[in-house]
Amino acid sequence: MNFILVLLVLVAGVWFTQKGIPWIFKGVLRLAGIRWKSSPLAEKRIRRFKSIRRGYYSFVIITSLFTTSLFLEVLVNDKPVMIRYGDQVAYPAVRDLTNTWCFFMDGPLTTFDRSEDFGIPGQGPLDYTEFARLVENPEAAFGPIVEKQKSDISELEMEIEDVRMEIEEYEADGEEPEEWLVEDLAAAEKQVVLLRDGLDQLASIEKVFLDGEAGVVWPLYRHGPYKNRLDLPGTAPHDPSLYIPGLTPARQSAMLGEQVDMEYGGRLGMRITAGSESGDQSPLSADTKFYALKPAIDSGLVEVSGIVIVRKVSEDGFSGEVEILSITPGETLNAGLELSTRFLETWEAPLGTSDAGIDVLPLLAYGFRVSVGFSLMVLVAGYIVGILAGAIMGYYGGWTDILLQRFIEIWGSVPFLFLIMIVASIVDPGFWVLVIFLVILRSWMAITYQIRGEFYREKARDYVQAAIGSGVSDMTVMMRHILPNSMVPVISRAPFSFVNYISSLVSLDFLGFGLPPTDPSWGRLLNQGFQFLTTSPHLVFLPVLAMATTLFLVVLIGEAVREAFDPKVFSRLR
Amino acid sequence: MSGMWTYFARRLLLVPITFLVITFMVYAVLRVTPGGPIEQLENQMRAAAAQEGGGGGGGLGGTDVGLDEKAREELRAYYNLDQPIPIAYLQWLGVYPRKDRTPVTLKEREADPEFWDRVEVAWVNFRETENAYDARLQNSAAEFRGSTLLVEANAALPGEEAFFQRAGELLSEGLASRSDLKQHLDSKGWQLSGTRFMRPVTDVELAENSGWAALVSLASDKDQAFENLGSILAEQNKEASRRGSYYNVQVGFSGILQGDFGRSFTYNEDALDVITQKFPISIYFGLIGYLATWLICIPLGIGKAVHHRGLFDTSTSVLVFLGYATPGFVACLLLLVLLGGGTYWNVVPLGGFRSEGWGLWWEQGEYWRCIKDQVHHTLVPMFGYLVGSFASMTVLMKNSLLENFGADYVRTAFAKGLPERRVIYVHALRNSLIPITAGIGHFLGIIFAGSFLIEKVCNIPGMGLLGYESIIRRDYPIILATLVFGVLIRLTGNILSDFIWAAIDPRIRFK
Repeated sequence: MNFILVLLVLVAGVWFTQKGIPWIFKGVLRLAGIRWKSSPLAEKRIRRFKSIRRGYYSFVIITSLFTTSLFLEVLVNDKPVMIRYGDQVAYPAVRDLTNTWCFFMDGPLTTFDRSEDFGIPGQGPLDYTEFARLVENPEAAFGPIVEKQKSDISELEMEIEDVRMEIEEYEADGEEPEEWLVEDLAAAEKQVVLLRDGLDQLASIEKVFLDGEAGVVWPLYRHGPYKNRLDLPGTAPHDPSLYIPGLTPARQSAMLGEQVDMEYGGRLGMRITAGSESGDQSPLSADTKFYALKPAIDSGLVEVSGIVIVRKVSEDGFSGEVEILSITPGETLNAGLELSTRFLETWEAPLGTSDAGIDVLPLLAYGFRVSVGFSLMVLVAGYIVGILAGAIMGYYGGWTDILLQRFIEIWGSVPFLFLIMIVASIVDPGFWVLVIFLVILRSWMAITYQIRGEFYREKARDYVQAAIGSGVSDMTVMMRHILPNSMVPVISRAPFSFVNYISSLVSLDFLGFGLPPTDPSWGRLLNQGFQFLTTSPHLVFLPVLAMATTLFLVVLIGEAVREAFDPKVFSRLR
Repeated sequence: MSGMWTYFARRLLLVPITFLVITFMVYAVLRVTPGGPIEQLENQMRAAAAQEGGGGGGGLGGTDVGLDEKAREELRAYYNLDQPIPIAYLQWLGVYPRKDRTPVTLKEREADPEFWDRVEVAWVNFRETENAYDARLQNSAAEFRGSTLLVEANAALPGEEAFFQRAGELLSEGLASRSDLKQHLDSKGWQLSGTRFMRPVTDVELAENSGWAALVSLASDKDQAFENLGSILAEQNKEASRRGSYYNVQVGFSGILQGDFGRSFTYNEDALDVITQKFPISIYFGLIGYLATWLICIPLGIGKAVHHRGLFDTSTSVLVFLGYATPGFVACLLLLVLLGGGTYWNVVPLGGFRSEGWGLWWEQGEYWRCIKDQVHHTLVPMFGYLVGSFASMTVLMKNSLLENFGADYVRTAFAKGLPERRVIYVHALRNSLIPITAGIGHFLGIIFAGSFLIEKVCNIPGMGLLGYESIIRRDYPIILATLVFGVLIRLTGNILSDFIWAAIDPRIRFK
């Protein structure tokens, strides 16, 4: 079911990106009164680009994924898209989405859902997981609470009865009852009334849930990139729970035996035997971590009572001793408990968690958006500045050209990573500061020389001279006449610059001089992988896989674009 | 030819200018940004104090531990932070005289008792006035900021109620509006001291309040006494600090032009020495990486060009694209995870230049073990450098050879009836190696200075890691020294590349 939904979202993303956005773009242009006309040359190039299939498909994949990722908050988030309780309706994830895109303003958007309004007592923010639990199974959730409340009431009533009897005894003796007894009685009676009211309230709340008037709609993936997964057993970083060959330990089962004292340190240990009643038997090896699984009661999540690690293996390899690493509070480890090297085999944390216990899947997804968005920003801003500078140099020539050339030569030698590191070691640069830094220090120069050369050549052409002769302003000549004819190097270079900027961001984040520490980023994940190099390979492999795949696709686009816009024909004689 | 010489002369002329601009920029950035050596020291002291106090001190208590004004002043002088940026920069460069302070030794003092007695009298005089001043300052609720006397604006002055009230509001809003508060107070010259507002004393008040007037006069007495002390010491080119240490002062030029890069704050060694220790390590890995790149990329590029659009070309293109898509340090990380002995295979060590016992083994004559160990440590960084320049180098080689295939002289060679192998591997290849050879200048930077990402990942104690760590620790002399060498190598490398190009390819003419 979920799989179909994911597929649907992806298809919608592709359709929206490839059909919807061009349509909207043209519509806006038409509204603005600009008629979109493409030259036959440009159309030929686009046709040629589309004919190089690997490049074109990469283009479709990357752009579609990026536009889809713009809506990540409603697709991958730890907040529901919509919650409903009676006639209270809220859209927490949608609010997140608007907060992301309207980052420049705050105020009305910085509200939260109060627990009280959604049937859970308290003024604080609503715990969505708790709410969802109530919605999913109100009987099971409310039953114990109601029972507790009822038993509380009956206990209190019995107490009241006792106190009354005592007072009656006093009165029968003709004495005044002691003051504190009377006070107690009054307080207890009040309490009973309150509890009864509470019970009524609980009943009315339960009724709302039972009647199906409360509802919750979750995003496709229920965990976000900011909250750590406290619901998972054991300590972070967790291995992927989805079976990924090489990353997830092979499934191996065993059974706990009786308790023993470990030989060294006298710590508590237990005997184990490999294999379980149902499972296969494979030899144990030292330093393997096992999760002790509680016998499943219903079809819900498997629960973990504790974690043990193999310290001693017997000669035949099928039995040994384990040390108890941790026991879940409120649980005990008994002989006969089933052990497994994997605690889950579900989509609960398919790609594992980072060292702070944050789910890796949302980190990768949000990291994709940040990386691609960042590089796009740097690319566009850098090209605007670079094209302007190059145009001025090439068009005016003379002293302007010489001075700017010298300036670029000097500026280009500034070790930019060094400077960013110095500044970033002192202040945490945000997304925009980093973009501006990269543009000013580096990205604009890459294109300037080529644009300058193009302008130099085009300026001598007749059509430009004619335009200048007819008295058109310099700016118009540059932007309207020359620029469209000198876009080839700009476009064919862009994907490769894009790759560079993604690498730059990943490097900066890896070193800890990039985006603020709370922002999801591939580089920081890599850094954590670097710290847990020997124990958590998934923290290296997954971000590298994400980055390399993205960059690989972009390079494919780049090759195709270069082939389509700037074909090199090598003649060869034999 | 003469046009070319002027071209290179101009390029060389530009080197010093570029160098000056870059170093000045970095110098200024280092000076302007907060978190300098003194603040680092204070943070360390605070951390130490917090640990001693069992962490009970908390946020506000920590501020008490900072350096006092005098110590700060002395440190500022020590780190040359008391000069304005341009002058300090010129001093660092070695073209502006700098005061070199060395402490006066006891022997020197015994050699000239008469002079030092005079100094001692002046010092005692200064201490007395200072003590009197301190005592009075302690009793008053006033404070000195520079030369202006500040008193607490506890009750709102007539006409200033609104101002005071607004300041109080801003203060209660907490740290978020601290900058607003500062701006607000600055507009009237007020200051924040703890949670009190201090306002400057007007001249009229000063005339009326004898206590304040005495304080001001004591302050000037104290400064006067210190000046007296200074003028006595100046007779013999000496100086005193306010904490009572005496220094010999020598005015002279000592900056990077004289080979003085300053002392490293963290290593407490001459910065130049620290760097020269690290250079060979970076050069070793850089050179090996570069050689590996050559050995792999050139044959691969040739093969791709010869079989252009063939099966070999297309299949190796995937490798090239992957090379574009993987930065060098990421490749190192991957290798370390796979081969570093964690979850998978245990083939290579997790980093470092050599094993710890390497020197010992060498002395004991276990050369084979030494070589094996060195090779083990070299594999991963070499692969990183290789991946870093693999794609661009291969494509450069391929395209350059393909371009030569289309050239007239190749056509002529074919027309003469030469065998294909000879045309490709002798005629065309020699010319297509020119851009690759010339590129060596651009690699100089990496060969000498290392890539700090790869050095960090592989834990190689080379120049790159040194630069990275010096930035983290704010070790200014080392930061600047690595910058100087990095920039110089890069600048000369680029010119060298063009020069080599022009020297081996007579068709290339720069103008």
